[in-house]
Amino acid sequence: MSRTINWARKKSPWIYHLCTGDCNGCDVELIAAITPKFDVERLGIQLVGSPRHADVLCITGAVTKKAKERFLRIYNQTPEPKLVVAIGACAISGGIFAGSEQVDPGVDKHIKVDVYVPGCPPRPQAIIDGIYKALGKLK
Amino acid sequence: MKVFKKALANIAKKPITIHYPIVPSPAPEGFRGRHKIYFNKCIGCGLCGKNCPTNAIKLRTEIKKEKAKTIVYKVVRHYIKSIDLGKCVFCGLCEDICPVHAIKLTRKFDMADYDKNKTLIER
Repeated sequence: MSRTINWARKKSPWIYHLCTGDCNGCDVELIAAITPKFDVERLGIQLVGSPRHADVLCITGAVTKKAKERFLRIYNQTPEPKLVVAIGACAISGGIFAGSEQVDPGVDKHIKVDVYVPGCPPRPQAIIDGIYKALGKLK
Repeated sequence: MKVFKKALANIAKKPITIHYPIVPSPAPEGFRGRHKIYFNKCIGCGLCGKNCPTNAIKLRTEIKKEKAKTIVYKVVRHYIKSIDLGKCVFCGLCEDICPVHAIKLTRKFDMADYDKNKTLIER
């Protein structure tokens, strides 16, 4: 039974996009991956409006002090098993914002991250590649 | 009428979708992607590390003895050690400033990895 559910999850991962305070470059690239040019819905990937419906959390941005609390709340709202994809240099290490007193950089400092997608911003193809690599973790 | 013509023309056209994971889609010319470092070319000026806006480039300090005609003197050299892709913003300043072209930004973009330490370019 669980194998069937995992097979279904692999065929249609629903992603939730969470911005924790960045320059919106990575957000634009993630939205570009959903447009007809790349059309990820042919692969079953769909953007959903609520973290409660999501399988994959796509996190962009250095974690600001204001966003940290909400970010952890949204992470806890996502049902298990969840996959976390950190997109962009800010989400991985703080990038250009590292060292500022307003941010607590590094998503992996707060939660467990499955796949890191470097780039500032990464190409839409790189984001699709990252989500696909995350799905490889499901057995 | 103009709209109608356009709509008719679009029926005959192919969809613009790129079938990315199945068909590879290379990055355009001049794209700044994963670095290629020629470690043996590095002369140890340390300019790349000083210029890096996010301190992604780590340098290895070495004291070397050099010779000018008959005088032997000591010089501090800063050789490039590693580049952390998790910190890098791909601005290309290191490529521009390097006097011996030891760093090159290639067109490779699929750098996603499960491990944070694997996003580090080392010797």
